[in-house]
Order: sequence, then C-alpha cells, then structure tokens
Amino acid sequence: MSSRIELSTIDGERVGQVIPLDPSFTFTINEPSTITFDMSDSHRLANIQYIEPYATDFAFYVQNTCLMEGMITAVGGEDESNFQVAGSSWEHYLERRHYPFIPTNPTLYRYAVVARDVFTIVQDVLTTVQSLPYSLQLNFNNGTSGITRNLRIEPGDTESVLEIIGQLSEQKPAFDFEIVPLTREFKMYAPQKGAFKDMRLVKKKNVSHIRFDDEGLEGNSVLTLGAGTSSKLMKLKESLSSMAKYRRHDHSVEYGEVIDPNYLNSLATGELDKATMKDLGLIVSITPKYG
Amino acid sequence: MLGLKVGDTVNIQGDIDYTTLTVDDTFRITQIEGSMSRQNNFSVELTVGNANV
Repeated sequence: MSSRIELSTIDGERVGQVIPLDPSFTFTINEPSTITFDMSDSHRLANIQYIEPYATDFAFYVQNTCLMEGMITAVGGEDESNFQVAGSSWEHYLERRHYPFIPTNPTLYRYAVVARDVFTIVQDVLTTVQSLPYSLQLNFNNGTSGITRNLRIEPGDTESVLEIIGQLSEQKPAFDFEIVPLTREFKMYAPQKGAFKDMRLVKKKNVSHIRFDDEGLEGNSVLTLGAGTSSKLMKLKESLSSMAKYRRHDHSVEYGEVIDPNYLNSLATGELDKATMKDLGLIVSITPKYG
Repeated sequence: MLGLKVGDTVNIQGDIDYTTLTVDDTFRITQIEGSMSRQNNFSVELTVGNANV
C-alpha cells in the first residue's frame, strides 16, 4: 500500500508532497487522531519554510483515500539524515481553544442554556469560538439530536472546547463526534458513530493474536466533584451489587467547572457506570496480509 | 485497510488464555493503531470495547 502526505499552508495553499517514512498512526473515537513519520533531511520540503508546527497543515492519504487531515504539531531530530514529524487531526485544534472571554467585557460571550438540544449547544459553542479572527473554520449542519442538556460557561472558563464537547458527549445518553477530513465538517452522531460490518475477525485466520488487559474495576463508590473552592458541589453514587463481589473501592472524578447540580448528577451516573464496569480490554492484531 | 473505522462493530472470534474465556461476539472498535514499514507492509491493531466477564 502506498501512502503520501500532502502539505499546505494554513490558508490552504499547497506546499507539496512527502512520502512518509515509517508512518505510525492512531485513530481514537471522539479524540484527536495522530500520526508520526520520518522525513529525509534531503527532501526539498525539509525546511522550516515549508514544514513548521502549527503553520503547516497536512493530509495523510493511503491509496488515494484521505484517512486523516489536520495540523503538523512537532518537528524534531538531530543532525542526521532523517527527522521526525508529528501531526494531529483537526480535533486537536479544539484542544487549543477556550470559550472566548474578554476581561474588559466579561459578559460579552456569556453562555447559559437550559434544556437545549445538545447538538445545538455544541454548534452554538463552535459558532462563537470560530467567530474570532484567525480561527479554523469548521462546517456543521447536524440538525437536532433529541437529547437536551444544560450548559453554563462561566467567564474565564479555561476548559478547552474539546473538553466542553467531550463532557457533553459522555453524559447519558451519549453521542459521538468527529471532524471529517477534507470537508472539515464537524459531525455528530446520536447515539453513536459507526456501522456493523459483516466481517469476522478470527484468531489464526485474519487475526494473529488477541491481547487482553484486565485491570479490574476502577471503583464502586464514586464521588463526582463539581465547581467550588471552600464548598464544592458533589454527588456520591454507589453500587452495592458491585461491592458485594469486589469489596468497597472509592473513586473520585473532578469536573471542576461544572456548577449545575443536574448536570453533575448526570455526569455522576455515567461515571459510576464506567467505574464499575469489569474491563477486559481487547487488542486485536490483524494478520499483515489483511492490513 | 479492511474498510474499518473507529466506531464500527465487528465480530471477533478466538481464545483468550485467561480462565476459559473464548470470545465470539461483536465488539465496537474504539481505537485503530497502525504502522507502515518502508516495504509498505501494514501492521494494524484494533482496540475494541470491553468483553464482559
């Protein structure tokens, strides 16, 4: 399989193409995807004029399909023949943005909604965030989800936009999201992204091995903490059936910016579900010829 | 690469050397890690949702 990296400026002007050496990549649901690769220092684009973290965008193609698009995030190396390049998908940009706040006009961007459709909330936040000059522009047209949420963003909130969206997406009922490569569409999926693929991955056939990781439960008495200093907003949720089998295990989760008790209660329910789940994570290695 | 994306659900079958667990169920892919050698060979690992034990 052949792969290539197309480089461009942040204004979309094409810089050129690189054949990545030893590329490694990771796609993770609802999180930024990442790629690292080597590049020969004799390549004509091996110059800060052409490839510079956060000044250069990339698109990673495998056999003419764009699998990932985003920003170059790091370039490094020594005085040798190759240097290393790292990139991250557009979701990473939302890790580098806060909800806007102007100290001289602290209520200008204030945001507080009750029982609003969660897709609309996310689009409200993105619309405001990308209204500031020099912002990455995303497209979205998600309609409504049928899921309502409350959200209040306090002036000076320093959570990243991705954290705000991530917290909204993790509450029950949950939803998934992604930024589609090339179209830069911020797409949301309720209840979840993906399709059932009529494909059997069978050990000793198209699977070389299946690894498991059993790290047990995280906890079954879960304290979820919200905003506050001297007096914190908090919710305690417990599972007695889990305690009967595994003993009592305390666990806590911080949601330091959350000031809405109903929102915190919803988060706490989700956290108890996650913490009591008996994890046996599986990692399936595909036999190379099927890769 | 197999035509799979994160979020997709696939059937996985095989023994796991841990108690008597044999997996034969559908799992949701939560992460795909891949690498490519200079000979253009792909190696792909799928992290999937938890097996219930």
